[in-house]
Amino acid sequence: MQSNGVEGNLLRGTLDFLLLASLEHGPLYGLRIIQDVQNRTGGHFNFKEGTLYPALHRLEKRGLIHAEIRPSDVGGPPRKYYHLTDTGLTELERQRDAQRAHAQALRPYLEFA
Amino acid sequence: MSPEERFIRSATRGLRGTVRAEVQSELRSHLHERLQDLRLSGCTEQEARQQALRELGSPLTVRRSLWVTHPPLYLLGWAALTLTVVMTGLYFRDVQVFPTPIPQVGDGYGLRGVSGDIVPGLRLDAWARQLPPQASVVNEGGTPTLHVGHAPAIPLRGGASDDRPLIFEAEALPGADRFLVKGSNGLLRPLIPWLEQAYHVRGPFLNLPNLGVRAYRGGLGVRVPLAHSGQLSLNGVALPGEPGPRLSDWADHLNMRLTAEAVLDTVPAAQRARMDVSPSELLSAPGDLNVRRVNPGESYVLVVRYREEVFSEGRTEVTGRERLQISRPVQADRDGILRLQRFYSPYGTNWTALRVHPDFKRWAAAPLASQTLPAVLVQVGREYRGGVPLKTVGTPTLEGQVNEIPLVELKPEQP
Repeated sequence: MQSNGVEGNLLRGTLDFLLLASLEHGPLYGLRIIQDVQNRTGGHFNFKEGTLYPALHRLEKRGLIHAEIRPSDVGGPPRKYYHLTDTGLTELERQRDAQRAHAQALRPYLEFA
Repeated sequence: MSPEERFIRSATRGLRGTVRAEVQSELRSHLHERLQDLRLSGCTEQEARQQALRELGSPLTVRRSLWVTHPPLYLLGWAALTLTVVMTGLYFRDVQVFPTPIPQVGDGYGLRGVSGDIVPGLRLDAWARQLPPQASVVNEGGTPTLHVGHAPAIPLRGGASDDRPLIFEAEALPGADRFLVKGSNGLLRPLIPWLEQAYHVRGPFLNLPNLGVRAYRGGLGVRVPLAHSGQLSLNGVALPGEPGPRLSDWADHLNMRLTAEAVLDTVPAAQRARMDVSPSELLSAPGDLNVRRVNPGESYVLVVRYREEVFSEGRTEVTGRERLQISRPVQADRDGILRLQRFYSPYGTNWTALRVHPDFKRWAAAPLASQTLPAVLVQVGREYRGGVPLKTVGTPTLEGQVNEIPLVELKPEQP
């Protein structure tokens, strides 16, 4: 996994959360997930796109997301849409709480650094 | 192949079947749409393609990440199989896996003879089942005996070892050298006896040349095939057992032995007792032709007496016995001209020439001490090439002809 904006280790711990969060408002396919993450984070997480797909497959294998093939509306090869499963939604909430607690714990150091 | 397709194939290498097809389809869809986006944003085709691939990163990284989710366990299986095959090959490298091609009759098998020559070994039961109606094998008091028409019965077991038809009493292997081990130290070496056991075939096996000799001694008319696919016949009854390509010499071998038998009948009994009945072949050598005038169209072999010597502890010792060498048959032309080539003398001997004697009597009486070996030209009958009626042997009239044939020394690397 590679990252230009942040350290790879930091991204590694955050990627699953970002992917789950991007699917919270509806199914998306690979390219749109990347664009959604970049738009919502202001381009902060500028990771190599090739690493996205193995991560999505990993989440699918864990049963957190579910894939569905749909024809493309722009005439290209069919797209693979991912959407959150119930387990995925629960996991997203858990990770959101964890990230929030993480950020809360870091705040004193960030403000007075 | 386009750079995009190369990337897709490289990134998905090692994935199996449907998983690989799905990931490839997903990456193709990604690249297709990303290229469209980039073109719409004003990139040239070339720039768009480079940019799209750059954003995807290294195919190797993608592949490694995909392998974590979809481990290519089947590659481990292939690796284990390859390793097993290679190790088996290494450990069995000293074992001849492919059977030696051997002619068969029914369930018959060839075996390597004591002398190193291949002789046809046929399973007796399979051979007996294929006998023609005029011939049969009957068990008489525990001894299998061959009956051919009204001729005297030929016991197949027992008797002198040089004409005993059933010489392979023990178990034998089909293709005896299939599991020939040449100093193998491989880990799988202990398996070889087990494999041998699995392939064992029980005898007894029949030796056709020996059967021919015994039948000849029993007074039956023996005809020996010289052509490939010819059959040994006794009293005109053709017997099964076809010599194959590697056994093409067995008929010559039997002819040689029968010729020796017939020639021995012409020498005095005391001398015959000193003579070995298993002759060796007198090999012809390239060189000048030695021409004889004989009977037109007849076939001849040259029979040579020599002193048996054994090499022991660096010294050559004379055993006091005599042996015979017999040439392959040569046919005279219509004018009665017989063209004999020169012959080899075995390496290490001091023999220089053959002296051709005009009759059996003088040939048998000639001394053996000199460097010139006594030889006699034996007429073996017109039909030699089709099978020899060997009881009609004689010597041609050779009076007044040159009677010496020079020998060529046989070098160690020559046959």
